[in-house]
Amino acid sequence: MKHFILKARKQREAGAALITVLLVSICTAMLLAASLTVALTTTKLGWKQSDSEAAMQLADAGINSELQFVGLNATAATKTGRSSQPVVYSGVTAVRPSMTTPVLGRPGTVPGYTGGTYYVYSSNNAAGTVAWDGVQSPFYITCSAVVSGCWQTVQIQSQSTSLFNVYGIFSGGDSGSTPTVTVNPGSTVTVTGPAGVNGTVSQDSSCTFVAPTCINANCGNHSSGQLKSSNCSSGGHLCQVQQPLVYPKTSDCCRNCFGCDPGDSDDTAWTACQNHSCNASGCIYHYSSSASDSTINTHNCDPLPGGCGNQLTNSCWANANIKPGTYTSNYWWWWQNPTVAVQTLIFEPGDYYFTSMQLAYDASKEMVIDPCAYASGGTPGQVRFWCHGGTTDDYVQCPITNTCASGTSTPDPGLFRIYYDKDNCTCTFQRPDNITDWTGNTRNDDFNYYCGIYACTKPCGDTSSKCGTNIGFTGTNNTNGCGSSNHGKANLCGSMLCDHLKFQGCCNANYTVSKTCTKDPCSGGCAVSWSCHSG
Amino acid sequence: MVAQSPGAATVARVERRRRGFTLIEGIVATFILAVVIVAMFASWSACFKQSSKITEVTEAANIAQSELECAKVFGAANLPTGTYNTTTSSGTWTGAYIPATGWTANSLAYYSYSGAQLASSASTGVYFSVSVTITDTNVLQGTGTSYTIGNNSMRAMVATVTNVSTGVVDFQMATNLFPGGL
Repeated sequence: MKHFILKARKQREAGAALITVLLVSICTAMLLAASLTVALTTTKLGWKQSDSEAAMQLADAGINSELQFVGLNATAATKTGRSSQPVVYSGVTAVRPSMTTPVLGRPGTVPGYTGGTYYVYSSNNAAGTVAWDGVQSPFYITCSAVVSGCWQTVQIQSQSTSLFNVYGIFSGGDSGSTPTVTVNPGSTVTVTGPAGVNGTVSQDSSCTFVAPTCINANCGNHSSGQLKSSNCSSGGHLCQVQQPLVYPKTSDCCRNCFGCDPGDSDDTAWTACQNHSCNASGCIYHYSSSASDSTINTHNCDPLPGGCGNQLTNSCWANANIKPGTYTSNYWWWWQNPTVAVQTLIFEPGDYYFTSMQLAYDASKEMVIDPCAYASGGTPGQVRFWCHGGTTDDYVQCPITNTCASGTSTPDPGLFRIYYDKDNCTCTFQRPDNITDWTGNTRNDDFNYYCGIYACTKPCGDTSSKCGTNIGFTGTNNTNGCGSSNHGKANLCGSMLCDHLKFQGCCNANYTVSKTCTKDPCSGGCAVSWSCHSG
Repeated sequence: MVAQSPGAATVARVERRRRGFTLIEGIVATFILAVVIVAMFASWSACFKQSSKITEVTEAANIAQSELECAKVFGAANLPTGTYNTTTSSGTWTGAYIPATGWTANSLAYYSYSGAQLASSASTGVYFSVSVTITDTNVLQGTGTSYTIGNNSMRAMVATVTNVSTGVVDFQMATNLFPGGL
């Protein structure tokens, strides 16, 4: 009996060790599988995370690449050529996860990095369904980048900046051996911002011309004769670039501002400008006959009857009322003429088309640029003078006063622009010698021009028969020093881009970047939205 | 001699067979267990290796990213310039950001395994080295081999993080820096 009980127990115990080991093995295998899965998942996630970071940086690279592309192609012949388009580019086959069509945009890589590719485009809208028209501001730049299968997309809203905000002065023409920048004897010129040339410089040994940063562009064509290290102010530096810096022409700015297409002719653009000019449409104001004082406001100012024609000359002031407080006496008898009195013209925001600007110094004539629209009570904005069409030289010998926004005392040069398109003509901003103010006292002050001047008709590389524009700044002669009595400087307080530039006497170019207005028509945006063809 | 009954002999044979079977069973069980244990350790080893590697790569990516972000904070125009190559019309600078000396040419920055920046290669716990290469295009050429960054220059920046002991590149990250303007 005992034997059979033992046998039965042993039969039950048979294979127990094997089963136990197998069970342990199965459990261990399950644990192993679980831990392996966790480890592999963690590893995969780790790689994904790292690659995602790299993709994000690469997308950032694509955004910067597009910003450069837009900057380099500002003068493209077509609007679509100014940016990368939201289309599938040739050779692109990459498809984003959950998408069915290849990714949109211009492909690119970062030099020295082979880990991934970005695809970037510009568009008018955030969805990327409308390509950037090369004008609208702000616009959107979208970039998708892929690194080892990880995609990232970055989108930014880009606000165009003004060409006036880059250099203090730049002479963009190149007339071979003929200088494009001339600093005549008796001149002292101080530029507080970057100064650059595409052409050559003629500077008399008796005069000075200094800027903190001097840029010799187009030095592939000019191995000498450009700016020198002696033109750099203390601590400044001289730079050279082989290629010329090519700016849009003034007519390109006109095309942009008035909504014309790049293919529209210059004449079409200037006709549109003329049609939108507000010379005679109530934009020019003067003091009303009932003005209580000289404060420029809606109570003291009225539109100038008839405005001004296409020629900005002293005769435009003929119908202007007297500025309150500028008589030498408050009454006169019939034999006493009011010999001294000031007439004021106030230019409200808008576009003014002139074929000439010939303003001789006259102490009794005052010119006020009113971007704040104090006189009309209208909408503040840029005042733009467009000068085109005539063949005579121009001169501005009067001081220009600008109204300032509330709380500020320095005019914003970004709110007054002069676009000069008269090829082979000269426009001179002059502070004459030996002048008196309206009371008869000698003037010792400077003439400050708070504005941006744009005068490009023959950019570097243009093979047409055009000659380019000439812009002159003429202050009093520095023989007795620029700060001496009865002397004054002609100061540009803003920036200037022109083909040829000439300085005479005491002059300054105080480069001031506008803080309020970045929508100049040569930078992809315009302060107003005109239609080129509607007349 | 004691005679054995036939029944007792059968039981003895069965017992012998059962003892033999238990031995084989034990050997098989031990073998399986050994295989499982070996596999387990191999897998764990692989897991640890993977985990260690991904920790290293993740840290390397963080370091590379911090180098690029550091450059962005400095600003494209403020980063150093290197040597101008007239053939390629581009400039190249190689170096790293070292807290004591700033952006230092032809140098490496060193980090610990946990991503802490170290003073030099002689510091305790050096694990990673970082090298940054900046390739400048569309630059304003200065004199000789020096050059100046213009508003429209593009500064391509690649950060390479290397395991110091093995010399293997753990991670590379790249971006473009653009000063902006015309």
